[in-house]
Amino acid sequence: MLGIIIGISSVIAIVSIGDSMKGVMDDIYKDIGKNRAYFYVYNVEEFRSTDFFYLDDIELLKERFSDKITYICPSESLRSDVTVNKRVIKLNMACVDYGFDTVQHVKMLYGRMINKGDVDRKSKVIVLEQNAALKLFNKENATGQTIKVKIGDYLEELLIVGVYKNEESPVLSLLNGQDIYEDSYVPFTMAFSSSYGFYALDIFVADNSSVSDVGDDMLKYVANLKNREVENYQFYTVEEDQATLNGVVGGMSVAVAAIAAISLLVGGIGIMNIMLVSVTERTREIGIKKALGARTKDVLFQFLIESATLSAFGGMVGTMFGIGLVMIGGSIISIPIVVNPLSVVIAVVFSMIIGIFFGYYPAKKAAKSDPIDALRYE
Amino acid sequence: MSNLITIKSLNKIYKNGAVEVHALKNINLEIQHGEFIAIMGQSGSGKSTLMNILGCLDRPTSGEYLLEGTDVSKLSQDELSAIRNKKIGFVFQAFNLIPRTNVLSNVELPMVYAKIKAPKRKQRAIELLEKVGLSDRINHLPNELSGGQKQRVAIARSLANNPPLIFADEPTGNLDTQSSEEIMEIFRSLNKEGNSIILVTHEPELAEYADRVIVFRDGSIIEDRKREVL
Repeated sequence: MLGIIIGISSVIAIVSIGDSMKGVMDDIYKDIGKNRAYFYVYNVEEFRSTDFFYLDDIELLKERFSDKITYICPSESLRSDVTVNKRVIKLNMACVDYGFDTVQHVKMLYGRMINKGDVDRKSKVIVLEQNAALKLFNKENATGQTIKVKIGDYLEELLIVGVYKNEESPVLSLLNGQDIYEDSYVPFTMAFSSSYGFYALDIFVADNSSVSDVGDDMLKYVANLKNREVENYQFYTVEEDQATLNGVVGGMSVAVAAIAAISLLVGGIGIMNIMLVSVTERTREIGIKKALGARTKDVLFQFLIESATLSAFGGMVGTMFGIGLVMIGGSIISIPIVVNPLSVVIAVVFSMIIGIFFGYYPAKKAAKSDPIDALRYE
Repeated sequence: MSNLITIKSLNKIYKNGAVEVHALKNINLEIQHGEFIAIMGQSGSGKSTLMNILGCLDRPTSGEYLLEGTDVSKLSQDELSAIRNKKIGFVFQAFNLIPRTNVLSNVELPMVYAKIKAPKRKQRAIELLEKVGLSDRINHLPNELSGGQKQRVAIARSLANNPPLIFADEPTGNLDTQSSEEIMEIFRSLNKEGNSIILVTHEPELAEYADRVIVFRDGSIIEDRKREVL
């Protein structure tokens, strides 16, 4: 009984943890963007300068795939220390094109996001994350202020045109760890000159296009353009990443489920023991029933139903215990808990099957007993 | 109509390791419908062995046993269960009621195995309990009843499927004199209603109720006499 409870509760816990993890993963990838892709130079033995992406290439791609992609920009970021009134922070500046806030949700608190004018005029502007603004200026609304950051070899003075709030899920922040860098956005044209070769591109595929089809087309187009093979470039999507991670979570679940299966086995043997004792205790009762006309299968069913009920009860207690366990765990690391009703049903049904399987031998023993011997038994 | 019971050259031999015990030696017996028979004999005389075989709880080593014309000596365990269920009612010395199960359910049990529908089952059980004077005890558990009451429940149960034959194995062995008399009166009135009763006992006073007495010794019938009907 205890074995069944422990076995079932761990199975329920494992499955729920797995499901919750998947839910969390889905949230993370929704944060990153499901139709987001990274396009980068890959697997090249000797780099030629032409292998990299230049602003001209990006313009070409933008034109060629205008109906299939909604956003394309070099995937680059800069890092610099920023000092305002002796307050120092480390700042990460993500390079974006205009329209980034149309493909990825950016919650603006004050001012505005990087716009077309900023990109076209290579304006020296920056959009700070709420925490960066707070740490530098002791207030959230830092629009209109300027900060000095190091870009390449130069110290540039940037005008803060907006402040936004980072809305990534708590789990993603947990995974990213204690990031000492504060976040911000700058126009990519301001940060890099047209002669700079970018290693990777950040691409959002249009909702009505298939991410993998667009990837294939782009790989062919770029390989042709750069006089390289398709294999020399990689079109990486978060979908692939998600599949890998789900695989890892799935593998973990299988490993723990195997352990749970062992405890179910032990539980089943426990049930068998209980039933054997019960059959011995009720030898006389079985004899009476047989004398009154009970057939072998009547006695067999009676004991099978008993052991199935016993272990199904264990299964139900185990289910409740397991759900409780997951809920406590979930509230500690504050992730939303997913309990699949199907897994609950399967767990209870499975424990009944264990009861029937391990109850069969004692039930058979009871059913086969000779009524005279059974009646004489004291 | 055929005899209720016909036994021809019936033998029962128990093997206990190398030792063979010849419990029944070449028994021949005929019993008619409606008889009230007392089987007597000391312990070890073979009367219990015969009772087990007649009750279809055990099978003879050799010989023929016809119950209402059916040869039951070659039947399987499940076939014997069906015969016991339909044709034989048992009343035991130790009452043998199912513990932790109320009086009504105990009486219903043979009908459950006969696959009789629940409402009909309950109605019949209540009728039978009225007949033995226990209609006010139907929801009691066996351990809440006196010995005499327990035995009356057992009699009601034995009648459940209206069997042609009722076996009573020392039915008053665990009862006081007054309860014994009550129980025997019930048997007597059941017999008057046409039920065939086989009573196994070693008490001569109980044999007084029967109209035929069969005495066993060492595995053989040594006496088979009809008593004058009073």
